[in-house]
Amino acid sequence: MNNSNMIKINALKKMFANSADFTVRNIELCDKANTSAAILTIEGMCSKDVVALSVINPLLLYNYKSKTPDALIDEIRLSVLSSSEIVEFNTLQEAITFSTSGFVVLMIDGAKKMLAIGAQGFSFRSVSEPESEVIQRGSREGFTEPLRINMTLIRRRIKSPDLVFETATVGYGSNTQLMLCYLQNCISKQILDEVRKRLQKCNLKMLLASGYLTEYLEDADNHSLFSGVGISERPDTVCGKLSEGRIAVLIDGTPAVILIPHLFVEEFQSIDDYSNRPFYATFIRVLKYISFLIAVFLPGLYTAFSQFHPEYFPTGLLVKTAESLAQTPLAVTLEVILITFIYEVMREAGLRIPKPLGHAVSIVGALVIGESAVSAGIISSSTLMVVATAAICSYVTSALYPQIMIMRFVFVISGGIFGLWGIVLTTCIFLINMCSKTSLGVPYMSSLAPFSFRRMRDVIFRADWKSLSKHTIKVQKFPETEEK
Amino acid sequence: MQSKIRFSSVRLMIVLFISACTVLMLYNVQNIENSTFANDIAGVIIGLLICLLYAVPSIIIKLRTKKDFISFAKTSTPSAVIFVSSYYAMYFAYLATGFLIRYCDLFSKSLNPDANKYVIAALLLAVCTYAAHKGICALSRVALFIFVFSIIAFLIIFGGNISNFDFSSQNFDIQIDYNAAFKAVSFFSSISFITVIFAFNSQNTNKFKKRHIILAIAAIFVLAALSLVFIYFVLSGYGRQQAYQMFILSKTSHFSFASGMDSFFLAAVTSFIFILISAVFTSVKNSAYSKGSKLVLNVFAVIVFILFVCAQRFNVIEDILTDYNILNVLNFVSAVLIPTCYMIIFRRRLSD
Repeated sequence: MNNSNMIKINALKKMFANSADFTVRNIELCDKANTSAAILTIEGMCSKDVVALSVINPLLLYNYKSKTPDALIDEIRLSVLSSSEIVEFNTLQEAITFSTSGFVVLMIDGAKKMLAIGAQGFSFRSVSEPESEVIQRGSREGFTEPLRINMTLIRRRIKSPDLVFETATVGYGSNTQLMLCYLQNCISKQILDEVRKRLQKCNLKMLLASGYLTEYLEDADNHSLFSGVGISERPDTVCGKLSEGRIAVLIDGTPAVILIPHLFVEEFQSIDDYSNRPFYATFIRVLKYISFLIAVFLPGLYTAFSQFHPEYFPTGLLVKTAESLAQTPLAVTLEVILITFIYEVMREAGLRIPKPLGHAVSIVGALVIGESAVSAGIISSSTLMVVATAAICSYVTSALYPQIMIMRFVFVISGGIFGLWGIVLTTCIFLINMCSKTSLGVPYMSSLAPFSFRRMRDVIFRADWKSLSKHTIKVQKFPETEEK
Repeated sequence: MQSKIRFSSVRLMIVLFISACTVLMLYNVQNIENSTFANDIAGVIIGLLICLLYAVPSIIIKLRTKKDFISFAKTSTPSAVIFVSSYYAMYFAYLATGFLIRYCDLFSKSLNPDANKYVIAALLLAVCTYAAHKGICALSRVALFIFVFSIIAFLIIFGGNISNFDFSSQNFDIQIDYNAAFKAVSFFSSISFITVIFAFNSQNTNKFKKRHIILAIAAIFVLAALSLVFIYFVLSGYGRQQAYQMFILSKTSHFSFASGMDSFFLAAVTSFIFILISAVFTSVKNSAYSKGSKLVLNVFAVIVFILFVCAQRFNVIEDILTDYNILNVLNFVSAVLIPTCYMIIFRRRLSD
């Protein structure tokens, strides 16, 4: 091997700090000068069989006619290798990017150019149904970790040249590859440019999950509990959103795909709604909105009414509630906060501990909270019922769970201190916060406020497909979308 | 990045409607002593005409220049606008403090006598300041939810009282007591402050038509007349002598076994006052130059609170701040006199 390759390989080794997974395979090509070449791979990122059969074998067996190293590179690319993915490049930085992405890097002594040959072969989770978005009807496929497979899942559903994947790299430490995905006949150029700009401004060191990126994609001065960035693990959902002019951001290494712009009403829509009969889908939508309101307001209203306005309870319920509350040592507000807090602790514990132990937590929780605490007179049964109802309702719109949880605590505290007045005022704060929020310039509460009667057919109601298909929804056409 | 959001003028009308509903919710026969149904209805009709008249200058400015009055003033007299803004800041402080005092009075007399007025005022002002920072567009979006709630609240308050109608107790003779009629006119024409809010916030509204504001004002006065019908023909003589009749109406409202809808009244009046004060604060924000508007708004909220504290300490100040006659004079100056002067002086700009 002459100096040229040695220098490059040594530089790369130095960059990788002699990392154990950085491997170099030196070979000699069958040309007149017996030119030496080096094959660089990262162990575990490439399929060894593919490297041996599709890269090393053809390279060693071919009789080369070219005389200069750069001509050899061209000859290898055009006549020798059978791999479908071959990229020519010049710099060591690119060599690092390609090799860490599972490409084989080929260096020829004396050549300025290098080749990256697609031979990815790392192990990954197969395509399976996403646990966080379970549906009754429809596809069972969910996104998985490798970017290319996720791209395929979308492409298989939209067989159109309008579907565009645009590559970008974020994270100066992790160099994570991501894809902007959109339909060029649906997207607004302004929105697309804005997303590109925001991604360029992202100064993350490591990008390990989609959550890292969401805050960079949110509009500035939009401090809110609610997020203007949606997440989905379902390719069918993503395709539906793309057709409405949204952008999907696929991140390598995570099955959670980012969708922007994202609106409040989307939290109440699911892909199942479009498979079910319209009347049933409408019923489910209404159910979801009511459940959301119950989950947010019920504990707060209960606290406010029991402490400040007991006259609002019907007489029978008032007597029972008063009896139940009289036997407990804590004030209603504290009782509600305590039960909600314990419930949240159990929920969090149930999520984090290994599955076999999860049942134990449920049993302990049910016994401790459901039975013992009530019979010991620490908490009242009516309070327990209110918190439990709110907790169940909060799972109907599970994507909004974090927001519901925080709002519930705030309403309990404000209702406990100021009664109904506190709840009204807190509602005003949340409403103004939500109504002022935008997602890429589109009002977050769009369809409700600003109200659009026409869009109600896919917000509270779900009209039949004949009616829905007459009008295509484009997110950039929503009223009061900011022009920047 | 300069955002250029324009919103429907109908939504601004909803903000004005809700703001005006606060006045109806705070209807207090003690302010209008010796009043009769005929007097009050006369007050409603004359109040409606005054309100329509007050809206004319700002409508002309909006239609001719596509700007609201304060933007027109800023472009016409950039150096002198500080004096105009100062006057309007004083007017808005008077307006906001006046309604804050009335609301806190209602709260302590009817809803919760133990409530600390200072805490209520401070929290309400803080929330309204936050809302004003978000701007009139966001506020008008919130107003949509409150509008729906207000319809439900009014339906419950009125609908629950239909079975309580008693026409026999009323004297239908039309005898106008001029003193009482003047007070009624003064009370109902105070609603014309909404035309000033319109004059300060209509810059970014689109598709504005004259009929929008006319319909909004008409709807307010129809609601006022309806409220009077219920107050006079549902409440007994004793009930009418109590403070805050709409609150009593909400108490007497019932649907079979469910009675006492005052929770709806509390929620409605709180949300209405929130919209009213936030709209006033937004007007103050709009009157300032955009650079220092946030600071101006915060300082203004503190001034309103100080005025409120002073009013609680000194009855004279409270009397001045809650006097409907003074409010009417200020309404006239703010909605008619100053805009008309501008229109006359800068009539060329108006026709450009």
